Amino acid sequence: MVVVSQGLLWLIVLLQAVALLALARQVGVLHERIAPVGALAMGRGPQPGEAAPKIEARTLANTVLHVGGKLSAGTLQLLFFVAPTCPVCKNLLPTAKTFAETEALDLILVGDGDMAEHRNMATRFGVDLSRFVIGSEVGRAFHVGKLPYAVLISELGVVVAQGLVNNREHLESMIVAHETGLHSVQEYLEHRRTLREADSGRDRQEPKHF
Amino acid sequence: MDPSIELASRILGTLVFATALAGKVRGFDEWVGIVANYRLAPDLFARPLAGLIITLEALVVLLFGSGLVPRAGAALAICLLCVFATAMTINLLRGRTEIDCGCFQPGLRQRLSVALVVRNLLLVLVLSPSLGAASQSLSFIQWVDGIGAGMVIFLLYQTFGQILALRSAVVVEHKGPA
Repeated sequence: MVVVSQGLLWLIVLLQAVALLALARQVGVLHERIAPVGALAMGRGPQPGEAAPKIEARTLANTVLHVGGKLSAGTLQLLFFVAPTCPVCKNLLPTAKTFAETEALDLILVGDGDMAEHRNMATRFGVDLSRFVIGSEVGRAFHVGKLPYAVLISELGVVVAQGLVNNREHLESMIVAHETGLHSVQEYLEHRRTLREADSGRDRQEPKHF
Repeated sequence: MDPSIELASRILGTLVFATALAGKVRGFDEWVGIVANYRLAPDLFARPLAGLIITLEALVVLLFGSGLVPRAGAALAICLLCVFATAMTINLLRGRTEIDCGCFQPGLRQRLSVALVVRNLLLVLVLSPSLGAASQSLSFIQWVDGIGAGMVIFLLYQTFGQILALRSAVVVEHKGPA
């Protein structure tokens, strides 16, 4: 009787260990299959690598703000296009603010339309009015058609990445684009595939380099 | 020491070396490349060395698995694990962490890391009971315990290998494709 119960106990432990191994392998399979996500580039307006248009825009504080052009060393400018009528924009705005703080980005909000509504929005989300551009010039210059939209500009005034953003991961993909020099997820995946091919080939070729 | 522990240690050793052996035989050319990548012997010796390691691992499986000369099997297995750990340490000190460890555990390839050296040393510790006194006769319940424990530890070993491989893959991606 003791032997049977002991045997059953081991059987259960064994099945659990098999399940654990299967789960670990499944995590590996999922990791291989799931592609990273990024901001959806629209293929219009200034493309990554091109100079961002230099615009003198009016803010909600009735001051003039320079968008584009050369920035101080080490600064990255994040243009975040929003509207008070866009629910995703309102959801993403607090995330964009903390993201900009964490990554030390110069965050500029851009809106177009009724000034009072935009001012209410800025007050509600605690945005500095002098960092909230109002007007259609910036949106037109970057060919923004859908919201929320973001553009990351480097210290040299060059567009690093741009696209539709719906969550923090999309925003982070823009910083990844800046760090890696790869402008889109497609370019990143292609680069990763090339690296892997080179990597597996190296195992066979490297014996030459003794 | 309880003979069931010795049995568990033998089963674990047999399964670990049998899976590694199967992987090396299946991908022999890749295995030769991995041996060469360690850069511990001239290029000319990479293929014979790869063949020698496969032969020694087959011998471990035979001695351990058959149970005829388990102590010799254990001694050989421990020697091989120590040699592998030394080879990995040398390459870690050289900073060559990007090469494949050649562990041939299922799933993703594993790059060299301190964790792999520690894993080998832990395996040495787990296999050491087989170096002890000659096997006493086992009761049925000791057989059940020994086989159960040996197989479960092997599955956990494979699971940790998988997690380590996954971790190194994630680290490589986070370092970026630059």
